[in-house]
Amino acid sequence: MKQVGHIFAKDARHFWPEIAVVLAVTALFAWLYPHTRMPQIQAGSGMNAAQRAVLVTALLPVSWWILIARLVHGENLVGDKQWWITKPYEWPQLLAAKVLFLFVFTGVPLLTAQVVLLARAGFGPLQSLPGQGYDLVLLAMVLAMPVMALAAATSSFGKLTLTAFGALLVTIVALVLIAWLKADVFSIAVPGPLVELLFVAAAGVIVFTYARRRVVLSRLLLAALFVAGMGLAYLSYSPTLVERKYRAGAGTLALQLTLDASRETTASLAQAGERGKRVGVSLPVTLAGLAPEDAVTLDAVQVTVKAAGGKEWQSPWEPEYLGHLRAGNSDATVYLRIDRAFLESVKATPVDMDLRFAVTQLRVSGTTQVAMAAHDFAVRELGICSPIPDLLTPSFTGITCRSPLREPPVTLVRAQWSNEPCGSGAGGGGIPGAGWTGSVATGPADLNLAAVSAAHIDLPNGIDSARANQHRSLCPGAPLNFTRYAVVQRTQYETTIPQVTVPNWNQPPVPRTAVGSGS
Amino acid sequence: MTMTGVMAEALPYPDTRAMGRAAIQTQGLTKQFGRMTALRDVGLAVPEGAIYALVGANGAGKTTLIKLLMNLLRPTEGRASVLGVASEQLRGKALNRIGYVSENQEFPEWMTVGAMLAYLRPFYPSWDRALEDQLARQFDLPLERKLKHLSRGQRMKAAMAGALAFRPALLVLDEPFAGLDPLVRDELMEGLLDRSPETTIFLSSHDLAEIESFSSHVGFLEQGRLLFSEEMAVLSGRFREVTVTLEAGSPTPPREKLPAPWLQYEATDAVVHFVHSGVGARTPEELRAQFPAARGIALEPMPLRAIFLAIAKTNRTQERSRA
Repeated sequence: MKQVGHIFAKDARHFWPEIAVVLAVTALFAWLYPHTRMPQIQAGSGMNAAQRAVLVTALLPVSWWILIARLVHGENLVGDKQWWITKPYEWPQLLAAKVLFLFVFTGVPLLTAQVVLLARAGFGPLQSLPGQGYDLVLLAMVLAMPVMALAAATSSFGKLTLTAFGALLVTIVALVLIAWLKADVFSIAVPGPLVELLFVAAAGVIVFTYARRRVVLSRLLLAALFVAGMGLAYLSYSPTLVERKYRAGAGTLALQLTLDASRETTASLAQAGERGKRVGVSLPVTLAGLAPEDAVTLDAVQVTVKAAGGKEWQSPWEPEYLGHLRAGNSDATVYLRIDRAFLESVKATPVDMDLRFAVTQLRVSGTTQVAMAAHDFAVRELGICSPIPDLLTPSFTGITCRSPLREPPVTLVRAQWSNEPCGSGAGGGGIPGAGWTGSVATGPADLNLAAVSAAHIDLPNGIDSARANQHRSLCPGAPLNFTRYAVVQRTQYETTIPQVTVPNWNQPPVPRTAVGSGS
Repeated sequence: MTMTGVMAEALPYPDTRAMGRAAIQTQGLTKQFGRMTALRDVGLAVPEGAIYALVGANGAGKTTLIKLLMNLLRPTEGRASVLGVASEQLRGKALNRIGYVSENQEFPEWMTVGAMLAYLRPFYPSWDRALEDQLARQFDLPLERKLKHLSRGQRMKAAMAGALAFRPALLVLDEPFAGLDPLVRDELMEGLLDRSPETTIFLSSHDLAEIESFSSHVGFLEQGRLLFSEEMAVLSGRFREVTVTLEAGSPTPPREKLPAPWLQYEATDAVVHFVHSGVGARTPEELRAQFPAARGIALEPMPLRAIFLAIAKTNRTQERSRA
């Protein structure tokens, strides 16, 4: 291990300007970042501070990029003229020295900045350290490892940058091509172990390059990993993944979805992707049967349209945008994209629609009720929320909430709007507003530079349309209810909507986000 | 039998039993870059304690051979061992006993000479701090100056100090004296000779004069082929420039029947001139038998440069005639 410290010390002496830049940018990041996402600090700071914060946030990975490239090229692995390769370097110790250097001069400063940000956001930083460690591993895999692998296989900063830009360009083209080929097909994250395998393989290439310095082979391996990554991106559109994640008949799901005859079915030429080849059909539906403590998310839908004479057409799995639905949200609109040629072939005759939904079932896991406050207030298992002050009156027009390390669990936030400004003494309160926040993702931390996840809670009915679109107010003391949900199962729900007559689609397009009430 | 043929028979798998342990040994070493063969079937052995000079023109394959030995390149065919370690395994601790200096090395130019030496110290268990100081004085190294601000000669001396201070068992030098002024060259040679025979020295050069004075062994590379590899004294003793003075009109041996060791044969009415590459105790007697009407036979020792020129020219003539 003697060489580790020796090489580390040499690199620290050599790269002090780069280290100084990283430390300065990290310090600026810790100082300015709250301006981007924390309104209680942003108030009064103006746009310039926010823009500076965004700039510094973007500069942080750039400063790492430069440091990693310079560090790896300090003991260049490409070529046969380097001074160091005829010296008795032990490659495991060389690699360990480089990793240690990166941890000390990028990891530790970032962890420190995160501790500062967590403290400034009102969280006890020490409780979050394990999650920060997890976040650091994620950042190392996604940001540091690819740069290190590329740097190990290139001989200079210029070549590394050109290669990276080339790879980025090819990635963009490949992803656009995949998205075009799979237009409007529901994509799903490929199973974690496959992605993890990809990162382990990338780490393996770095180790191999240090161990053998067979750069041509390393480059081929990196190219193969890149192709494998693109393959995974393509694979994410596979219907098999949907069938595996949302297993048909995996469990019971009390849900009934029927056509709402009281509302009109509309149709228009689909807006995106194969415009002109598909007809977008907005199908008003009514939900029933959900238990009061349950909610569902209709993540994707597959429709089989059956017409008289045995004619049939089936869509791929396509994403749905209905948000979370729960008992009491009786109205929703399912958006389907049906082949135009098929619909033209069946004319205007009624068709049966077999709908298959990929459903995430959620159940209440806890409820917290707090009183709205004029300052930050804590919400158990969610984080800390802040009122958004109205600039003209001593009222509040909404709330933002922030959580340490990751988005909170899926949470339904219910509030009571007041028609009048707070403190005016006038009544007119009690207008309900309910909105969802959080995510179903699990894990100790999200991939997040700042370690603080902040979100504005979108509470409907905040604007009084009957009174010239005036803001309603959330007043201190008003009850706020936070209901947390946990995933019960992912399954499929099938239903048939018979005898649907698709109207003439040569109408103004229906907005893609026209959905039923999400609350 | 051609000269090349003699060497090819003698050298593909050198017998090192007679010369003790070999610091370097290669067998059938071949390196191709695409279709170009840079090194072809090279077999050599460098005994421990030798100062072995690998000579040849630019592009003959000297640097390629050294890079193969140092595991900077991988052979296409054949194998090499350095201090008993297969060259392809030469990394990490195996380099503890090997010093390497090349004219083309990319140095850590941001370091000062002193910092470079200090950085190298912990890598070598056998680093001799007193010797480092002595070398720094001997080479008059500017310890506080950065490598990027050094002249070429100073840089080579700094590299040499770093390669000698740990008392390496083997020192591999690729064109160490190229482009240096005579004073620096002498200083470096002095430094090298001080280390011999503790250190086996293997160096490449295209300047025959500079290596003649201190090499114990020599190998000659020509277009990727090792034409010969032997002890300097044996080589010098084996080659003689022969001048035979004849009576006018005396018969001379027909060209197609010339003995193989006779190179660059030239004959006029009264004088025959050639290079004899296989001089032995019986050579005068044999020559008298070949030239019975000779008025005089002179055998002159040859400088290394003349020997190499004779071999190279003969080899090229034979290549051309084969082509």
